[in-house]
Amino acid sequence: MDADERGFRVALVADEFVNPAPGGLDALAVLARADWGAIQLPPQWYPEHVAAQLLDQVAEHVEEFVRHRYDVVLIGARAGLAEALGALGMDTLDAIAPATAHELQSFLAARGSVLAEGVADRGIEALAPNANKGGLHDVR
Amino acid sequence: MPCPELAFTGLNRFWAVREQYDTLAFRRHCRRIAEAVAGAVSAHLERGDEVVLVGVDGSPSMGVRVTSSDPVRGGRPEWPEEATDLHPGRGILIEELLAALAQRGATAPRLTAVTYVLPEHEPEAERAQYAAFLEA
Repeated sequence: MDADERGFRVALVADEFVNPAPGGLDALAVLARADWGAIQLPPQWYPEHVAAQLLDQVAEHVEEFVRHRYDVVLIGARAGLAEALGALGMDTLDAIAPATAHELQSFLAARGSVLAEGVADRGIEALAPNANKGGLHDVR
Repeated sequence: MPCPELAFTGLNRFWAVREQYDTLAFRRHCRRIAEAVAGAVSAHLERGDEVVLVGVDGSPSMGVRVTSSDPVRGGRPEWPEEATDLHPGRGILIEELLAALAQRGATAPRLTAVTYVLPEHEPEAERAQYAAFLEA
């Protein structure tokens, strides 16, 4: 089975980089080109209790990703995310608030390939089929 | 939407059918996710946005038109090539999400699903269907 890096490196993306204002940076396009998966974070305008519930869900996903040594990064910022991660014992993630697509591309490229670094340890042949049933987030 | 199976049984889970997931604990887990997503849907509807729901056909949790069902599957994990677990029906999270929206009095969104789990999946045809769905 072909491995798909998007399933093993995931960016949490602030809404302003998913639905950018005119002239803003479309991070999803950059992530797609770089073979990264994405999880959209709740927009800032969501009611606080709605955002908190969603961030709890995001944090539970991140905990599972990190436990399996996936590469998880944050693009932009989201109030409440650090608290949700902290409640599960996690530190803050490596993050970038890119001004340009090139800046984001460079940040992602510097992290390398998770498959090249950890296929055997991670047992990717066993993991990859699960994506068929699990609805892993991706950007396509 | 969050993946209910990922958080409940983890990344290294075995495939499973609806009946194996349909427990009180998994329903409770799905209701918690459904409440969060229904809150987001309601927020969008309140500001006049249109919302559509895209599930994963063939999934025991996320199926919209097709789910994975076999009332007798269990025991040592195996998934025969000829398995006929795909049946019309909704996944458990989709059921709970629609129930949560109904409970809020929210208009049910139009539904569709990705179909990469299904044997007849054709990426190009599916893209065309999405385009038609979103433009409708």
